[in-house]
Amino acid sequence: MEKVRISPLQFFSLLVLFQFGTTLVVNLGLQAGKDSWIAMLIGMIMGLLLFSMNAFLYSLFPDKLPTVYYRILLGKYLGGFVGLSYGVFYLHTASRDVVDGGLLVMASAALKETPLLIVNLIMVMTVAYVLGKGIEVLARTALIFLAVVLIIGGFSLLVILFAGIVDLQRLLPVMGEGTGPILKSVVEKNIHFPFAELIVATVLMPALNQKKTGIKAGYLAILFCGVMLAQTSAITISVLGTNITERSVFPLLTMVGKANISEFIERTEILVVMVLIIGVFFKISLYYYAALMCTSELFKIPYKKLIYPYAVIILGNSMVLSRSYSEHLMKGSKYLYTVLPVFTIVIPAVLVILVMIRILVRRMKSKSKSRSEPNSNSSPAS
Amino acid sequence: MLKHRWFAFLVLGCCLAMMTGCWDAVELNRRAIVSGIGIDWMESKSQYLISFQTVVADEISGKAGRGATPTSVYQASGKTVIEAMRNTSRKVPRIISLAHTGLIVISDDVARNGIVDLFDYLDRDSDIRLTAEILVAGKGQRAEEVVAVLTPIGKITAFALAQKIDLTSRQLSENFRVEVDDVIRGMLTPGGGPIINGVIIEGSKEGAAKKSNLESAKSDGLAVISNLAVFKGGKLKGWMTKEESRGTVWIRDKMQKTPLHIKLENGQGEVAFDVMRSKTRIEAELQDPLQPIIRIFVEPNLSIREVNSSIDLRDPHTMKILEEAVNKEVVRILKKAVEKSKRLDSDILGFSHVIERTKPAVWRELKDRWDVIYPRIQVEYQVNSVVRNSQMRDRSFKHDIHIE
Repeated sequence: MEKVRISPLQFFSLLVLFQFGTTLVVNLGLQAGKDSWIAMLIGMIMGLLLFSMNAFLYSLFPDKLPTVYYRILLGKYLGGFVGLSYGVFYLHTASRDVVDGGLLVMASAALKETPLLIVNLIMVMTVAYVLGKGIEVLARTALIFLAVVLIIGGFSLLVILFAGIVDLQRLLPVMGEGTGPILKSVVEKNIHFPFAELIVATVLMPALNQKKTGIKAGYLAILFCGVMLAQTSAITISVLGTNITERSVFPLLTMVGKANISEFIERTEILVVMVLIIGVFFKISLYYYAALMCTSELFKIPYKKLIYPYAVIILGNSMVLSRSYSEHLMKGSKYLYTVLPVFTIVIPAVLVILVMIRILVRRMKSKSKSRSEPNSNSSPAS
Repeated sequence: MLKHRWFAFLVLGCCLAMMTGCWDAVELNRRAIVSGIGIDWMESKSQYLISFQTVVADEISGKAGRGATPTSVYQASGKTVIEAMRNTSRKVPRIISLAHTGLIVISDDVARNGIVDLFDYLDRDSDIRLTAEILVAGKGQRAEEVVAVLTPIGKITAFALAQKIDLTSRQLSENFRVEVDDVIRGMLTPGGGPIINGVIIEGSKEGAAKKSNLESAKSDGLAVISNLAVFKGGKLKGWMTKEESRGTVWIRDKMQKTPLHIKLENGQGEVAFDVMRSKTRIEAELQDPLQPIIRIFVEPNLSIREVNSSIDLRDPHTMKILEEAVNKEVVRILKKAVEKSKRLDSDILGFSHVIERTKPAVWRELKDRWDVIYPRIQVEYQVNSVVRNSQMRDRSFKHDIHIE
């Protein structure tokens, strides 16, 4: 792979924007009802655990793309197959996110009657252009947009608080239905969306210029996002109540639309639309990039040659994915707990176990070696 | 290299074609901005009659005005709101734009038949905001008449009415803002319903819609905010009186300012208070799950505004007597509201939410029987008022003059 280097701060902003991406936008139902903020926090903790697996693998194989260590660990053919399926998985998820973003723009902004194809086309073209410039450009863009997102987020929060529409009683009673719905929600949704999706970070990690700080930045990004997302969901429910939140296609948008400070500051939704589009842009970019890197490494094709063909695939796939938004969401929520965990939980877990076994075996070997050669003072392999 | 250049040109060409502007932009001069919507029931066609109060931009901006009315009402009928809206396109030369709708007036008879069907449109539509204010036209009045009223202060009636609600809820507190989402949440309250502000036309209905209404110092007709309408589920059950409205506002903890009038014992005269601020807290006691006790705690802060009595306000003991009299008065007002809501069997005060918040498990048991339990529920009141000040004087000058 080519020599690209991204700094921990850039890595942090990429991951933050990636997680904000569709999670802030899309409503996959409120299984946990009023307690969805708790579910989000638990999901965040699980996300930290999952990330630690990826970080562990990275610490063993720094400077190596995941597709490389899949082959080292799983053998040439199985590893190659897994790498390839990751590529397909990333590509598919990228096109799902394109649809999410496209539908958001159509529903929220003035583009109500614009065909989805056009909206998606513009989005994919923009992403392809940035990726054509390289991941470093994307990372630097992320840093700038993170600042934009934080400023908008802070402003919206202030507007909502000062508009006096937050009624915290709507969050009570906490855990009125017991812990059952929360755990169900965590298992079916909150782990995967967005925290487990950070599997894409494995593709980015080899480009980090400071390994240890980079990993720390990753953990921080998850913590930061978990808290922000939980807070957003709590505020949305305390403004709209569970029923309207649950039925809203884009709850955040509806919630911010309620803010009105004496007919002077109102209709701040457009700012939120900006945040959402920025987030979706980075989510698509990272998935797209991950798909590119996986396949280019496997087939030894320079990834820049793949950008435009992939753009066509993502665009085409996004158009045939589903007939309606409800079908898209229904498939999406199933996809979350059926297909996604295979790539984000099962495979990394298997790899970690394999690595552990390898380390154990090597340690035992070196022990038996050092026993047989008591004179050697060389440090153990571990 | 050449190939690349061609490709780049192609992409740029595509961009040019697309970047000419928003795909479905509609310029302002192609829009008719709707400020208020009136919804009536047409008995003859059994359809909704929807009246759109549209802003005549030329008259508002001033320069190009022809001296016509600032707003104009277009009407059309339809089985649904959207059908009526499309039907207006035969009458209006511009696209009906609902994004700035500030007010939705529902007539009394539509409200009695149920507003559930209407609200799905208001909730779902991406143009109408949840911040639109909802009003119910008083008995025997039609929403189309309310929407057609012209007001002297504030050119656009719908926005002026929304401001009236804001003002009166701050000054008199017998109303409070009720927006689209408040109504929806109200309809979802088990055994309860929304409360919506009423509106009536005082004076001549025909005169209020004419331009001459703006030209005389004493308007022929005015749109006036009236008392609260009580709903059960999506159906209008009845209207509150002034005092009941005030009690409801108080229990819902929306009290901001309200005048209170106390008659002193032994013919000592009268004192008028102003509630400056007030805090309400509701608790539920669930010792016996079948007979929940609701406790309402109110802590008003008052200011003395008028003293038609010779009492000495420097004496803390007098203050205590006054405070106790106020407590009694407030309890009386609160009781009226609770009794009304019990009589109409609609939990508009949100007691079910209080029980749910206190003990979710008990609420799950009560839920199915709430309709039966609610009218028999025991409510206790505890008012602890504090007289904070007496404005610029202590005693009244009546303390020192002795007529008779």
